Amino acid sequence: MALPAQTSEVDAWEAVLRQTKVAVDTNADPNAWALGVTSTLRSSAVTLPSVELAYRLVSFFFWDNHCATAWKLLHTAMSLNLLPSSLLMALLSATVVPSRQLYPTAYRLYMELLKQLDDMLARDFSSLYYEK
Amino acid sequence: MKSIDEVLQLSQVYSQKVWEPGVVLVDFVFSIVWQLLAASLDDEGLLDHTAENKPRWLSRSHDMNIDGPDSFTEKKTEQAEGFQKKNTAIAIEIIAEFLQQKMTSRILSLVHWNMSSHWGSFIHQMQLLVSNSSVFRNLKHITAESLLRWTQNIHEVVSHELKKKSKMETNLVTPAGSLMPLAGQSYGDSWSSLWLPIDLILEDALDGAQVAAFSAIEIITGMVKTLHVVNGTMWHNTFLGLWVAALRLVQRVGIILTEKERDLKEGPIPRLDTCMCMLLSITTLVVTNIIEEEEGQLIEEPEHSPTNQGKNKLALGKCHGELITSLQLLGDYESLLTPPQLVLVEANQAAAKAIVFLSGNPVGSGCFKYMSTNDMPMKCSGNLRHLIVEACIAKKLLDTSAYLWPGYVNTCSNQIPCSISNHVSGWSSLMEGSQLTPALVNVLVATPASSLAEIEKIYEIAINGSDEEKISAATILCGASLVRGWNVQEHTVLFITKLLSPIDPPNYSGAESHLTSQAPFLNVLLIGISSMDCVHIFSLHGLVPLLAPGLMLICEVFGSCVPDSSWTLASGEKLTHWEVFCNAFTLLLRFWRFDHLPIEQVRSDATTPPFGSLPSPECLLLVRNCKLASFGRTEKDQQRLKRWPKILCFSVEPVFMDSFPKLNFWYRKHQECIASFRSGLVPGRPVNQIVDALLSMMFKKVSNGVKPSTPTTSGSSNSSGNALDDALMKLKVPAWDILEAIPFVLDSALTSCAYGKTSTRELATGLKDLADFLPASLVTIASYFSAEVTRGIWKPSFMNGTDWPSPAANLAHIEQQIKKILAATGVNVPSLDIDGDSPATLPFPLAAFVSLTLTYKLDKATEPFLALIAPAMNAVASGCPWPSLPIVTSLWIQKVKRWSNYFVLSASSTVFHHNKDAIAQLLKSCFTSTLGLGYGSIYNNGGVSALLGDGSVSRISNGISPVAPGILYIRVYRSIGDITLLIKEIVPILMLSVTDIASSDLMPKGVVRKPKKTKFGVKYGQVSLARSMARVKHAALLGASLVWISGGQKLIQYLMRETLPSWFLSATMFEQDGGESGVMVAKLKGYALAFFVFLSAAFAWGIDNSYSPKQRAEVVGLHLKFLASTLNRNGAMFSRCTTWKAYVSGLVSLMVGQAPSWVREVDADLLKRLSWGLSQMDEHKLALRLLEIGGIGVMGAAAEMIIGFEHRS
Repeated sequence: MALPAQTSEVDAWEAVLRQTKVAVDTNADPNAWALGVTSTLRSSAVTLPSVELAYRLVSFFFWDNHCATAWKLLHTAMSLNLLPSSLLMALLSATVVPSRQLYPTAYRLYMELLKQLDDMLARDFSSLYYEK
Repeated sequence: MKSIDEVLQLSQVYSQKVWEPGVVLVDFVFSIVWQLLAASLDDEGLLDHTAENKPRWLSRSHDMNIDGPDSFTEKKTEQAEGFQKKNTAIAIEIIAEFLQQKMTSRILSLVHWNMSSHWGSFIHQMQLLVSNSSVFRNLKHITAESLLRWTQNIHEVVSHELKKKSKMETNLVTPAGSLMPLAGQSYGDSWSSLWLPIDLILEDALDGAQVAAFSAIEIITGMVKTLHVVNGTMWHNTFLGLWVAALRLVQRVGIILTEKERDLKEGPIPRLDTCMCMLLSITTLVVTNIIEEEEGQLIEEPEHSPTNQGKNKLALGKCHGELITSLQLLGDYESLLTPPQLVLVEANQAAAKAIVFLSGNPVGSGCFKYMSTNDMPMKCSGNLRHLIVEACIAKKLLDTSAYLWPGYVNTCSNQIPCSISNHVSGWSSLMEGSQLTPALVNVLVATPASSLAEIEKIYEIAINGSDEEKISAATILCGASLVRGWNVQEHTVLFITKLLSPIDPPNYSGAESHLTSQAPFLNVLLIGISSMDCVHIFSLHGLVPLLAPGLMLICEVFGSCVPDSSWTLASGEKLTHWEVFCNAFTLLLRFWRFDHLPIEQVRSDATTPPFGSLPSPECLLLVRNCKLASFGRTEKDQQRLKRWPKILCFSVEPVFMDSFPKLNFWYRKHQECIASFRSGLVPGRPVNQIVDALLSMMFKKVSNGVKPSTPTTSGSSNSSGNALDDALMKLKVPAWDILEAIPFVLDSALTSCAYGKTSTRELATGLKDLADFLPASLVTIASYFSAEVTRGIWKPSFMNGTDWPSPAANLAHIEQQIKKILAATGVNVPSLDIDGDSPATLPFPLAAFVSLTLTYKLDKATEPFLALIAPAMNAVASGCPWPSLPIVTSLWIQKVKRWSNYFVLSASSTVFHHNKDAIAQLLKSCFTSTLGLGYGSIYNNGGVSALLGDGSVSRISNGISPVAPGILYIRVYRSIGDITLLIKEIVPILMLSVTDIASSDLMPKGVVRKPKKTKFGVKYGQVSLARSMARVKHAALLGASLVWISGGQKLIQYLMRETLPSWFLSATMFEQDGGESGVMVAKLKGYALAFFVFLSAAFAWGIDNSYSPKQRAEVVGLHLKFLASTLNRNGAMFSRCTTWKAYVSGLVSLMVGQAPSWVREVDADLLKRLSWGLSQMDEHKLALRLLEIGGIGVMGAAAEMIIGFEHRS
């Protein structure tokens, strides 16, 4: 029993990363990407909004694949509540701001997201994520 | 939220001890903003890397720069730099947005409230940005002023909103006080009602029945600061309220006296000299305290937060400027500024001083010049404001530029009036080095010093001069400079206290020889400060505990000496050890209630009026030790030390009763005498001889069988013609031994008289001889008789004129007068009537006591002794069945008719000892008169004048004046047997007053038809509602003042712990008033009660910088626990009770808006429960504000409520 579940989740994250890479490469519609990710995670019993998704996306986008399209995907993921918005902002503040001189465009996009901090906090406060 | 904490390490960065999602939320928002700020500074090279609390997440920036690729071309570098500047600009804009946005700014305000160190660093960096950032300067929509204002307004916005909403919620409209400009006297009473508590406490401080142990300066300062916060006024209005209250006090007292009555005292009570001390010395020191405290805080702040330096520079001296404004405005109160006749000379001198200064002539030469050229100098009319200004100049609160104020100097003459020349020549001669000739001494005694240097010189002579010079200096110190040298009074009382403490502890052993050699000098000081006014002046300055150990040492030494020698004074009289001892002893025992057992003071229902006496000498020493041990530790004390003379210092070594073994032994015996039956004389002890000798002296005519002759009533102790007196002197008996024998003597004397061996007249005469022989015996006589009355083992004495004096001539009249006085004040006591056929009786010991007092002549020499025993006699008579005190009063009035008013008023207080209805009626009368309620009242406008009178009511032909209810209350509240009755009565009376206010304001008279519901808003207009709220506040101020004055902290604890819970839980609370007007009345009641409770607690423990914050936190915490548990448990039950809801929301609003430090002292869990309860009452905003200022423990809950609140709206 343990082995199949674990394998399933690992496979799910690999699938999500593949979907994300394809979306970035092909400049795909963010909503389509979001639908795919949601479907993949739900089939693997991952609860949304997902803390793990936030970690993996930030790591993927920042360290390996830095481009403007990534921000569209992040924005959509937040809008659809796939991940905790405030956690995403925390992760970005810990990665983007220290590198703001190397990647000024990323810094700019981060600040654009920051303007919606009010809504993010209100949404997270109402979700199950708050007490965790 | 835990993952956010882990990502940013928030708990570690901010040293948060307890993990809470809400706390992480606050830290997160703050970190986001702070990071943007630090990044912006870093990008422009402005970041101070050595700053404390530096965020750690910027360190990677340095590393990344090092690892940056080198492939950038020059063109790309230029583009990147432009883009980076653009980014910095956007970052700054986002910061500004967050500071303005409702939700984020409120969350950031939590950082300000609870993480001041981090917030300080943030502010510091913000100022760096504004000052140095080139990117910031290019922004078009954000200015430096606006950004800094938004940053600093983080707490101001919240505070402002709290205060604004607090007032809106509790007052429903803008408070009436701020709508009323100082247009003139027509607004006097309404505006002055805001300061009514000051009027009451000043009047209470003048009550001569008590010698208070605590400084009036501290008590009044605390009250003024509380009222300043509660009334929400500027400091100049607060100062003006204080001056006006003190001036009204002087007018109430001083206006009655005329030149003809100069030497007629109304009774053994301090009057005009003490009033002027209150106005010119105490009040000025209160203002000094407030200004120095403000300046002290400004000095302290830069050390804690350097970012406030600029702000401090602007704020420095703000209070000082407000003082000037208040004194300039004071000039408009001409009627209050009229000086009493007895201080007219001083007022004119103060005005003349300004004229002399403005004329530019040197005082000395000008005096001589114009004296020789003009024999009729123009008269200068001064008023009390001139005296106030001089007092402020003496304390360096003002300088001589005050003389240039418009209207201050009202004549162009530059001539010096004659009255000033005497002072100039006298004290200037001293300062120029003249010897203290008898003529000069007389001038200096009669004329007060005007500067510290002058009084210091006298003090130096008292320390270092010859014996004769020392005595002269002591005489001068106790003369006009003490009584009416208001500008130097603070120093004069200190010098005298120091002189009466000649040896510092613990070097008490071996003090005898030094002290006895100073006997004449010490005796001059002791006599000089023993008058009623002088003792009260020391008390107001808070020096009683400091004075006590010196007096104890003098008693110890002189009381232990045998009178084997005496000193011959300059006047030719002889001074003995006994005399010095008696003067010190009778003065010392006025400092505590010697006729009561200390145990009575520690009962749970005993109260502690702020101006009450301490119960025992141990308490005096404890207070003294605590004061000196803590003195100098606070900034306030440092400021005060600067004002004190350099040559003066007090030992801080603690003093205990063990240092005075004889006094301590006497005190223990004294207590035993009061508390229990005394054991009989044991044969063979030396005390037996003393008892026999004293009895022989007292009844020498009987024992000698000689026919009665006129007894020598004065100087008998110095008579050399009586063989028995010589026998006593040959015994070489110290005073302490004689005091030990007194109880036995008294017991024998009473027994002898009771069994008919001695007549009552002989008993009275004998007691007088004993008291003349050793005046200190009066203490034991008073205590012994009090105790014997309590024991009740003696048969009553018939005051029939045969055995005892008869009060019949006056008794019925006295009782009628008492009844009239009370009725005129609104108190009707039918039970005063007695059976006319019953003979007047007194307990036997009381009859003897009264007879003794009646043998005294009324002169200056006997004033200290009567001041000592009069309160004890009144206390005994008050405790006896009616009409004991009227009988005593009648007897005394037969002796001293001009003291009738005092005696009748004292007798009136007996009614209140155990009469609950009388207390309630008097309180109701206080409220009715102050608020201007009741038809046909002669005080239709209410206010302070109605409550305390104006002192100028013409006397009724029979000599009895109507007594204002407030004055009567202050005289009688100490007679209330169970002071908790006050608390139980005052809450219902306050509620009734609110009903009366509402009915007279909200319902115009004559309107019979019921108001239509659809026009509710129009019916209760803003104006009438504002008026109602102002009067409700006045009612609360009055109630809180009366409670505070009467019982102090203990009574207020009782109010909050017991009275309020039981009152709210009583059945009457569930009666819901009908109709919409009923709802309004119920709401007003709740707010009035909230005001009352808040003010009472504020008076007791202060709003900030409390002297006993732990006690306040405990009491307030318990009360809030009651509120929270009642809200949570009985929410449904109370949900329909309007008064309860208004009370809870009103009280919490007042605490949040005006006393946030109280909220911070409350337990976090309790605050959360209370906040939850408020939410259940639909008081969401108040619940949030409570958490916002509640401290770090509830910061998380506050953040959660902020988000929930914003999310819902």
